[in-house]
Amino acid sequence: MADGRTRWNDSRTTMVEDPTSFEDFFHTERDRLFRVLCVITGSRQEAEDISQDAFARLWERWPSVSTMENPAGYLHRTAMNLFRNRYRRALLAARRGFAPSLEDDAYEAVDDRQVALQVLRSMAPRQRAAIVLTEVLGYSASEAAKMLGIRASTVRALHFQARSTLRDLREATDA
Amino acid sequence: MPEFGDLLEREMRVIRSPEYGVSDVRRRRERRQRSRRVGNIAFALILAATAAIGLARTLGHLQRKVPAVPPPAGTIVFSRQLSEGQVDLLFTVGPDGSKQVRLMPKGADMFGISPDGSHVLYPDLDATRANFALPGVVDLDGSRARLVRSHVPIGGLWPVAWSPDGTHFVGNAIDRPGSPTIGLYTARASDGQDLVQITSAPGARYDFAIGYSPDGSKILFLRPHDDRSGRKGDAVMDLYVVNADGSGLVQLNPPGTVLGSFDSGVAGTPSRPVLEQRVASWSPDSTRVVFAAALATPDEARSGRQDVPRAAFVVDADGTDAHEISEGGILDAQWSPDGTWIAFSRSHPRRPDVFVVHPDGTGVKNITSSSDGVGSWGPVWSPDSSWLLFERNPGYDQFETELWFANVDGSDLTQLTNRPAEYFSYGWSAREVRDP
Repeated sequence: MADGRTRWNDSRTTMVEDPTSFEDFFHTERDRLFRVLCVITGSRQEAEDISQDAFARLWERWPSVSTMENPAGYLHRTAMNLFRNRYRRALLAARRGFAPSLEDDAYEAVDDRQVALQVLRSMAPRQRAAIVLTEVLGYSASEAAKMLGIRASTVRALHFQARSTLRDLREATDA
Repeated sequence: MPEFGDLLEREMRVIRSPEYGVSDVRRRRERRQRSRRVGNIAFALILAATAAIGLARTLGHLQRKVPAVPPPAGTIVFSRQLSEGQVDLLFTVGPDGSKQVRLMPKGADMFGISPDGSHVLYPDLDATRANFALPGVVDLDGSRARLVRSHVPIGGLWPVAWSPDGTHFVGNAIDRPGSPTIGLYTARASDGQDLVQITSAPGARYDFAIGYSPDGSKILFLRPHDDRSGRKGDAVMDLYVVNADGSGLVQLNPPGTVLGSFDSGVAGTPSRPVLEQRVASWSPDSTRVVFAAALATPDEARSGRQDVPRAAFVVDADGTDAHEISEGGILDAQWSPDGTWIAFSRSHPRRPDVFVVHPDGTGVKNITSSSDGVGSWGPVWSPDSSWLLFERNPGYDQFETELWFANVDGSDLTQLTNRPAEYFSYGWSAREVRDP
């Protein structure tokens, strides 16, 4: 405590002096979170629902969340939790035989030449999430693994798989 | 592979922006808050209700007196006739008055509960059939009612009681008056075969079985004293025991005593006979018999005089050592299954009440009190010897009776039925009947 800092500095939830308004935060993060979720879920409808839910939950706790060092990180974790829960429910429903089929409408506008999205298209939603969290949102493999409830080695293996698929697709496109 | 992230970021821009704004998120937040408030209120209400129920139970438990004996268990079976001319129907009911079920669609006035309590033996009555009465068995829950014999070589066979091992039953035969085929018969309970005549009533009389001895070796029965004694009204009878194979007939009531339902309406009961099965019963060790008898000649017994003395006797099963254990208008006598008590009803000097006494004649105590003018009689024991089931009637109309039970210590007098009627026959099975 001699340097005047609190114990909060030890975590990622360091107190800061000047919190931004929720609306500013919403407008800054909305499109990015939505697109990330579109890629992960493969459904605009699903992505809209999860992202709205994540923002609503964040808003309820905004007085404390706004003072965090990284409110966007909290938003992503909230969204990933919601995604995990829904994904688990969807799997359960699929096992019972009455799950609605997941549509790939988010990919409808994707050109065949947009190879990165094609790589993700070949993966399961949780695998896509691992790649997006690390490649797009910049989380480490262990952080992404924690958020998704999988092993860090699995995240690294998915990276390897994504790179190989991308290389193969590029070679095929070049040819 | 950093370029994969950049590539992905660039390609994601082709995905159109979402169509919701901050107002949509606000509505969603408000909806969540509302549903959370409702949930909290519901949770608080459930918590308060649970706490209130727990508190009420705790207080109830603290205030409830600890019963001296376990609550009555099992199932009570009874036959009921609502008015003159109607058929008697068999019912089962729990001791708490719940789950009353009509046992079967056909009428039957008497029955016997199997030793394990799971089956009920009854007379299947059909006036259009050559054999008017045939033995039938129904499960205690009313299922699987079936004839155990579709034909008998006599006018009919009225089943009365099971053998203690549950394999046979004893019944009364009816036939042409004076026929030597009239008497008691035993038969296998499973199929009615192995039919054996064990007594032959002399003259124009009908023997009436009471039951097997608990060891199964003997059968107790009543025989009209002479040809003038019919089954009802002026039935003056003697008590006999016979070996289960028909040998060794012995009269048990001493000279100068007679049994029967000749006291109809004169001893404070409505004008109906006391069921024969309740005037005598075996001790649990099969060595002795208790019976209620009048100390009178047959003519005195038939006279209808209310001052004819009646006493409870205990006699050895070989007919020796008959001695009184209680006196004063005894109507019936039933030995408890555990052997410690004999229950009886006594009509003198008031209307009848139910009592218990030890087999040696000591420790007489009241179970009921007719000081309120309500008479009680006809006690039968619960299988665990803790409870007594009997009839109660406020007046003298035989169709105004109800069934009640009470603890053997005289406590917990409880009304079982709630339908004034004639309850001709009733008994207590140790088994519980499943929910209908």
